Amino acid sequence: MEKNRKARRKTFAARQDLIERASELSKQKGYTLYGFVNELLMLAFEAEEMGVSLRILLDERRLLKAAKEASFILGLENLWYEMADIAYNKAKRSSLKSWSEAGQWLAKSYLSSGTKDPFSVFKRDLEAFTWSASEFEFEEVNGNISIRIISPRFSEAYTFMFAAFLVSSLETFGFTGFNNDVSRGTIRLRAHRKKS
Amino acid sequence: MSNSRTKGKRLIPVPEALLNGLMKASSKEGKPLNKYIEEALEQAVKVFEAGQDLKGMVRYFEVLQSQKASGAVFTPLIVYDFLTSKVYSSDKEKLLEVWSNSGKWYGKYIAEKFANPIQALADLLQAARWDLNEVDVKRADGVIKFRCTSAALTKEGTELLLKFIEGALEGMYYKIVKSEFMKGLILLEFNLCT
Repeated sequence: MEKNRKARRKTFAARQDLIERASELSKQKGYTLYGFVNELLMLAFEAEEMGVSLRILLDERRLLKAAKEASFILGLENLWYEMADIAYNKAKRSSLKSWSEAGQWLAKSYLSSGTKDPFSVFKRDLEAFTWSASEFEFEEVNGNISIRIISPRFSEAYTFMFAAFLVSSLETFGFTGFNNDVSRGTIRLRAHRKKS
Repeated sequence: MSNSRTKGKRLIPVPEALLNGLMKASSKEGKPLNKYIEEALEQAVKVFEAGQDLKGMVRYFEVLQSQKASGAVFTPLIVYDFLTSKVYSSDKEKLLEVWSNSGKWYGKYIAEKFANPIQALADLLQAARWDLNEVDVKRADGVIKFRCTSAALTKEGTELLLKFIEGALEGMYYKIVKSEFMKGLILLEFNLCT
């Protein structure tokens, strides 16, 4: 029996560092390394069978984790837009102020996070969080930034408030000299880094 | 465990049946088997390191996909709190109606999309609203009990969320038999409309 089982095994070469990580996890979980590696591979295979790759699962999980850490919540866009419209029509100035404060708060939370390049992380997360926009471009070349967001679904109030949010977060990151072109569903921002 | 080492690599024995399955999957993706296995192993290690189980992650993935498809967007919590408090104080009835209607639409949407829409609603709330501590669904004596708790929710936020959930249940053709809320706590009982 033992002989048969052995005959039905094949080998593959895995990176040493990967096996060391698996070995560490297997100890924590009370498995043998062989059993654990096989369980991991079975898990990957099952995910593929379900039509999802583990990489995609991990990316999506990372997105939610980043949103949670940045204190973003997920809600239906029509609900946000309607609330934004009501608030904006009632109190334009304080509505814009609340979004500006949110942008400033968010930028500061990235700046104080201890990340090596907080602006790049902010840029990456913002792009991920703005998944509903049909177009999103965020470029930085030689200290000049250019943002273009197009979403036909944005209400007018939401567009202006989102633009206020972006401007204040970028100001907090040290950008100045804003050139903004904002109209319903379209945000175009240009700015440059403050010279130190 | 029998294994041997090559330069920076280690040979790992794998059951032939599993290896055959992985071979099929690798050829489907057009990748060499070894590269495919190594990537799969790396991702699987990350899943475990993240303290996740696969089924949980797939469920999370489905929830997020359906959120995307239903038109969900991320909003800063600070903005959400401002919007609810600002609009609640000036247009409470209108705001409650907006949340209820939005819930009805959402209820219809998930009833179409999921085999168990009530559980899906609970999962969706848990995944999307991390200001909630607990979302619990129980079935007892022909009634479904829905419980939602949050230490962070304001009274206004709790009431709006209640309206949203009630709307979602109506959208799924459930009849609400009991509805209670206080700051940070929502208790609902309902059954299917006959």
